[in-house]
This record gives sequence, C-alpha cells and structure tokens, in this order.
Amino acid sequence: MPYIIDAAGLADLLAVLAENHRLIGPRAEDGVIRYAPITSIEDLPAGWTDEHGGGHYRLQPRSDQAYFGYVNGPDSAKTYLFPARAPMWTYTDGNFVAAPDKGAPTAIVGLRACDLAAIAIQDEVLLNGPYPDSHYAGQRSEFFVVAVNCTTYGATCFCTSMGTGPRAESGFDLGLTEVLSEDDHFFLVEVGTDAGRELLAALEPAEATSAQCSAGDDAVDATARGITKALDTTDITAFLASNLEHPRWSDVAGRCLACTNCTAVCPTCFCTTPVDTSSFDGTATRERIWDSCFSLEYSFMGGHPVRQSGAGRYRQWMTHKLGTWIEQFGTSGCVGCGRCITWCPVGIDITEEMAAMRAGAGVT
Amino acid sequence: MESVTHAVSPAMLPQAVPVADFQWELADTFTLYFFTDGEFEFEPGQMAMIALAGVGEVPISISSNPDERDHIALTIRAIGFVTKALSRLRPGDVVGLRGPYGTSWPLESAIDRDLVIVAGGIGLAPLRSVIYRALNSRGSFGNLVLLYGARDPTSLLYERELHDWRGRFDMEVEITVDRGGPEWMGDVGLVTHLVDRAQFNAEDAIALVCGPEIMMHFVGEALTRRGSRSENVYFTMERNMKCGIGLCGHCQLGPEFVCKDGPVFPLTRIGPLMGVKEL
Amino acid sequence: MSTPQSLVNQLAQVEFFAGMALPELELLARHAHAADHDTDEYLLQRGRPASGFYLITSGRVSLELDAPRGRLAVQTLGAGDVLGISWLIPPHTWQFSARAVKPVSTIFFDTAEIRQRAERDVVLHDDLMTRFMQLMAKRLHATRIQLLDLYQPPAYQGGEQWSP
Repeated sequence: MPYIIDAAGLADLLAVLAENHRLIGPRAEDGVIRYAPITSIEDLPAGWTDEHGGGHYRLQPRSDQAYFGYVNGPDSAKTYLFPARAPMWTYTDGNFVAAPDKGAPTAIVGLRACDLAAIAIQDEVLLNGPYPDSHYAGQRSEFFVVAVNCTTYGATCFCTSMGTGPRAESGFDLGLTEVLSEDDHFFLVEVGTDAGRELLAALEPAEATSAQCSAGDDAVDATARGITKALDTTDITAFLASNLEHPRWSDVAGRCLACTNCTAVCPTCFCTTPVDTSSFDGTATRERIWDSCFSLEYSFMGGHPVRQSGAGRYRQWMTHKLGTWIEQFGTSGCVGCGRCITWCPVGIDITEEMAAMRAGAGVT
Repeated sequence: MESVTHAVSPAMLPQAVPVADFQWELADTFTLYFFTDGEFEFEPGQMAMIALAGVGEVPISISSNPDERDHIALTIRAIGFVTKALSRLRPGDVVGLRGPYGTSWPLESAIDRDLVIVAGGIGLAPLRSVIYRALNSRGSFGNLVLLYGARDPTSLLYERELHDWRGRFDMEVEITVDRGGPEWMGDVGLVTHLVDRAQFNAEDAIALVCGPEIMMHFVGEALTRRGSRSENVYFTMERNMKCGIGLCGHCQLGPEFVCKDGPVFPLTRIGPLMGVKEL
Repeated sequence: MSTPQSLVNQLAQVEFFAGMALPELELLARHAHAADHDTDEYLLQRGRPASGFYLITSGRVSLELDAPRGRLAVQTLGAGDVLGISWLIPPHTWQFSARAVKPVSTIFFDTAEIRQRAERDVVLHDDLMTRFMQLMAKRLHATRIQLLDLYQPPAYQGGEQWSP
C-alpha cells in the first residue's frame, strides 16, 4: 500500500506544497533544528543529527546524508498552531472587534509521531471544550502535515512508554519513512487523507515493494527497540493524587530554577495569559501570550500566589501533565518527546522523578 | 437603549455595554448595573467577565435577581489594578462583558428541604442572586435560613436587603460581626457560631456557602458537626482566572477548572482539594 | 422551676453535658436553679467572684468589656451555650462581663460545693475539666479566626500590576 519516492520525488513534493502553502520544515540554524519556513529540499538539514541529554543539545554531523536523521528541536507544531503571541481583539470607537483567526494555508514537513500525538491532545483541549479556541481553530484549518516516522531516537525520547511513537499511526496527510543504505536512499510514503492522496498523485509515485516496506518497518522497529528511557504510567493519576505531599517535590524544587523552559518547549502546554495595551488615541488591544504554571504570577490571587514554593509549582506541572490531564481530557498530557528533559538547564528528567517517587525515594 | 447581546464566537470577544448605574455599597465595594434586555440570562452562582479595554478583565459573580431579565448587577471590591479602575466608572462609560460562565447553585436539589445560606464578607454578593431566586418560589423550600458574618458593622453588604429579609416571617436571618464597636446591638462572633444555633434540619438541608476559603472550611466543619452530609454542602471557589472558559489553564484546582467545573462545587468534591497546601 | 428529676432529664439532653454519668448530672442538678434576666441586666461582672456557670436556654448574652469609649463585645452567646469558665481557674474572678442583650433564660450552677467535690473525686474532676477545656478550645479557636480578619483583603506591597 505505501508508495515510494526518491530524493528528487521529495524535492518535487516540497515544490508542489510550496505553490499553495506557507511551507514549514526542518532547518539547521542557530545551532538547533528549527521548524521554520523553507523553500526547497536544499533547506533540509541533510547530514545532520541532534544529540540529546538532560540539559544537553548539540547538532552533530552524520556519516550519511539523511534528510530526516534528527529527532526534534525546541519547536513543535505548537510553534505554528498555538504561537507564543496571538492577537485577540482591538477596541476602537466603543466596539470590540475580533482579530482575524484564520492563518495562511500551511504545510509542515518533518513532524514526528510524538508531535502528531501532541496535536491531537491540543485539539482535544482547545477545540472540544465548551468554548473552542477560535484562534487555534483558525490556524488548525488548512494545516497539511507530512509526517516522518522516526528512524533515529534521542537519549531523552520515551514515546514508547506513552504509546505515541515512534511510528505515526494517524494525524498526517502523508507519512514518510526515510530508508538510507549504502546503495539506496528512498522514502516510503503512506497516505493518511484524501488531501494527501491528491497531492501525492501529482507525483505519480510507484508502489513500494514488500522488500522496501520491510526495510522501512525494520528501521522504525529498531528505533522503538533502541529507546530505553521509560515512564511507568500504571495508575498514574491515582498515584500522583495520593502523593501530593511526597518529599520528592521539595527535592526537585531544590534543583528546578522555575525558568519555564519546559513549558515553552512542551508541545502540549496550552496555558496563556492576556496582555492588554492601550494608546492615547483611545484604542486598545488584547493579545494572548504563552504563560507557565512555573511563574509566581500564574496563581496570583488576593494578594499573593497560591503556589508560592518551587515545590508547589513543580508539583502542579508534573501532576497536571501526567495525572490530572487524564481526568480532564481523557489522555495523558505527555507524549514522551523528551524536550523538557533536553531543554531543562539543570537536566531534570520527568521520568527519573516519577521513578524516584514510585521507588519511595525522598532525596537524592 | 444599548444593551448586551449574546456573546458571539470567538468566545473571548467581549460585548461593549455601557454602565447603566453605579452605586457605592461600602467604602471599597461598589455595584455596576447593566441593561441587558433579556440577552444575558444567567443562573445564580454564575459569573461574568468584565473588561476595561486596555486595562484588564476580571471575573465577577452576578448578584442581581436572575428573574429580572432586563438587567444584571455586578458587585465588585476595589482592591487591585483593574477593580480600582472599574470603581472610577460612571453611567455611560463602556465596558466589555462576556458570560455567563460556570456552574450554578443547585437550588433544585433543595426543593422540599431546608435551605441554609451562609455568607462571609463580600461572599454575600454571589449568594444574593440565589436568595432572590429562592424567595421567588418560596413555597418550594422548607426553612430558609441566611447566616451572614462580616468584619464589622460598616462592612455589612446590602444592608437594605438584609433589613427587608429580616422583616419576613418566612426567612430566618442571623447576622454577626467579628468586632462590633460600642454602637452595635447585634451579635459578635464567628459565623460558625450562627451555624451551631440556627433552626434547620441538618441531616436533610442543602447548604450554600460563600466567603474566604478558611471561613468556608470551618463553616463546612460546623455543618458536618450538626449532621449535614458533604454532598449537600456547596462552596463557591475562587482561583486566578484569565479567560473564564477553560482555555488558559490558570484557575485549576487539582483536576478541576474553577471557571468551567465550578465555581460552585459540592463539599464532597472540593473538600479533599482544599486540604492540600498550595494546590 | 422543674423538679430535680426532670431537671436531670433536661440536662441530659444538653449537648454540653452529653455522656455525663448520672451521679454527676444529679450533683449538678442539686446545685442548679433557674435564673432569668431582663434586657441589659448583667449575668456576671468583671472582677467579681466567679461562683458558678450558666447554661443559656433562650435569649442573647453579650460577653464584653466596658471601656471609656463604650462596651466592647467579644462574643454573643445564645441558647445552648455555656457561659462562665473562670470558676475553674484561679483566681476565680470573672474576666469579662456578660449582659443580657434581650431577655434571657438560664440555668445557673452554683459551683462552690461542686468544686470541693471535684478536689476529692478524680472522675468528676476529669469530666468537668474535659468539658470546659473543650469549650475553651472552641472559644479560643473561634477567637483566633476572628483575629485573622479574613474578610479584609490583604494589604498589597507593590504587586498591584498583577492583581485584578
């Protein structure tokens, strides 16, 4: 059922997408792989990979020229679907006028299974509640996704524990698996939607052979087997709810800087705060910016923050992401992408904290 | 006459509405009135988000009579940046309104039972709307009891209504203050003491409580001591609210979003959450 | 005035005496008598010898201090409340005054003999101490909450731009 294209085919695919979409894809810049506007296959980070660890990220050259031989960077679909700043309304002449919600038709190439799981989670939070977020809905419509099945993994990845990867099962228009060997370099292409099928048809790709499919499957399976980092999700909501006074919270608070990096890079974090500005001509605007439960202002009420201590704030983030999120939205809030571990300046690892609590450990 | 119309999608867009009237209630507390022409129907306990363009937006419980559909009233304490700016509004000034949001007082579950309303300080404001609703169908309930505790005699909210309600033969109204002063002829002491003494069937009564969280906690204990069941006791909770519609994340208390799963909660649900420090 | 036995029955129904053994109830009943007070009459006055305690059966009593600027009430007591702890505690003088705010019916317990009996009877002593300790704890607890001034918003210190 999957099709097969080569690098030239991929270049054509990107070109077709670029005709009618703002094209977003991976590019190496500023020492990281960003998801940024690209114009052609030339912009992809061919031959680059990324080295992840607790509080550690480095671009490293590969020994081959894989286009998608990296894992992830600080961006996710959130960068475009739920940007850090979004206009909400303006007020002029006694009227509140909504800001336009609809984004430009966008195509994004390179997202991983964990990223797709994160999109589905944000869809549930922002579209399926009693009041949908109209800005998110506007960006979400006309969002073409070319996903990539992971054939490499990072040291901070744990999608296998969260049931979110490394294979993308749904949520994409087209799904690619890059197969690279000494004598061959091709991409398996799975069709996810009618829009994907239509776009792919323009390239008239051949169907993949079973050998080619197996090569792709093997590469993804090997990735899954390689991931060793794990999060035990057994009864996790009940476990966290009954351990709100665990000494580990104070212990991690002793390390946590409350810098909010983790919430910034987490692809499912959705907290925002409104910012109101006014000008002398009497007009005013409101925009929505990312906020973080780690900041003191976040829980400010009646004169002081409800969550004053670092322990209280770290506990809020972790018990929400892993525990109460399930009660609220039906799934975990965590997709195991590992970004919070990679981008934490002090390398706090949510899977280690969880394991320590389950083991009954209090202090390091 | 300009009035509120239904909030249109997007849900965060306020409706521009002029202030119809402004009244000081206490030294730091005031009420804004808005004509709504029946377009802002609400259930007692629900709140509105009121925005001052360029300044900010705050959630305020609606404290007017829900069955007088031509207007709403918001009683606000001026203690912060936005609320102090709101206190400078006068009739004709335009604000943005959104709502109503949140859960409401479960008045239906009090039918044929005693209804006990316990208010502390400005907590009487979110309860006034349910008192009006209960009086509108007084025959549906057993004993109707209002217990109100305030800081001192100058802090008693809605004094005119309190006098009216005290004058009724079908309503028990007990008022106490933390400190009385030489002129005060009424009770002095904690509102929990009123709970100990009031005339109602504790095993069966529905209790609606609003006030500072510590006060609500001790009122809950006093009710439980008298034999009330937790599923019959309701608190209205408060947390930092930015959007009022469950999108911004700020108002979470454990798994509950106070803005959409609350603000009214039964004690069975909220009691364990209130007991956790910094939750 | 009800007969001693019916007074014992009445006392047995009062929450304050819940679980009290019959002999102790009878002892209390023997030293009890009805005491009614009109509005503004004092049930006890600060500084006078504390000779017993009251069980208020109806009406309202204001526990207060007299200051130059007027009467300062600390608590209002009503039906079911017990008034008077100082009879148990040296120097056995009233620390506050108690005035009927409206007509009050009470049962007054003269504790002179009860105190003497308690000095010899450990069980009686324990029972009375426990009950009055619990009453004091409840009053102290309520007073502390009153002191917290919960209804008053906190004074801000420069955090204004954060708060609604």
